[in-house]
Amino acid sequence: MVVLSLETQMYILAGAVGLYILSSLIYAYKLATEKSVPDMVILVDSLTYDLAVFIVALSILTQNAYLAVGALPLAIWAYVFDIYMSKYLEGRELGD
Amino acid sequence: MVTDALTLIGQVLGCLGLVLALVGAVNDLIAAIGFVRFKNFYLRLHALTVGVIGGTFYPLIGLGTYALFCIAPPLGYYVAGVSYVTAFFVLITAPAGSHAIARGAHRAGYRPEPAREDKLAKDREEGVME
Repeated sequence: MVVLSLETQMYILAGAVGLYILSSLIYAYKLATEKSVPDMVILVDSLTYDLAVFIVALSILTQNAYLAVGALPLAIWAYVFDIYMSKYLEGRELGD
Repeated sequence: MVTDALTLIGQVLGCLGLVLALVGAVNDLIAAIGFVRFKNFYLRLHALTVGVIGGTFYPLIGLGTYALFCIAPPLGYYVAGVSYVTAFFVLITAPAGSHAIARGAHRAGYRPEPAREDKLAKDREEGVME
């Protein structure tokens, strides 16, 4: 018994990937037109998290396990970037 | 009989994961529209939260569940493990990161406007907090 056919599952996944690409384009447009540093930081965060999900979805679509491993460093990098930029905005360095 | 039932439960869970991923993608689109529509940084933090929790954490859980139940091992187990670990780290680090950047922005002089009262700035001026 099959709940959803494999073809339907792939269509749903491809639809989700399409929505992520659309969101990423909106984020990228906003990033290009934005002038405030904190806004740019949270836009880069959103783009990074989008890319993490996109990579996992792509690894399922392409049946390639090695692609998925890129998602974890991206999620950690977004956090490190946040902390570094918050220190920069306060006029301090990491560790101060 | 029991094996069939377990297979069916696995397939239902996998499809629910797929639906979760699709709902998450819609959430992410809503967050992107929020980024465009909201007027200042502090309001856009709400859109960021929608994008991170609704548009990243839930889809990762959904994709992990789908991979676990609907993709043949070892690929399914591998993708599921990476998805769950990434979702866990996103859940732990994203609120801390957004709080840090909000704190940094406020200290750097980015004020919420329009605001009826900025009690954080007032407390800092009065020396109540550092």
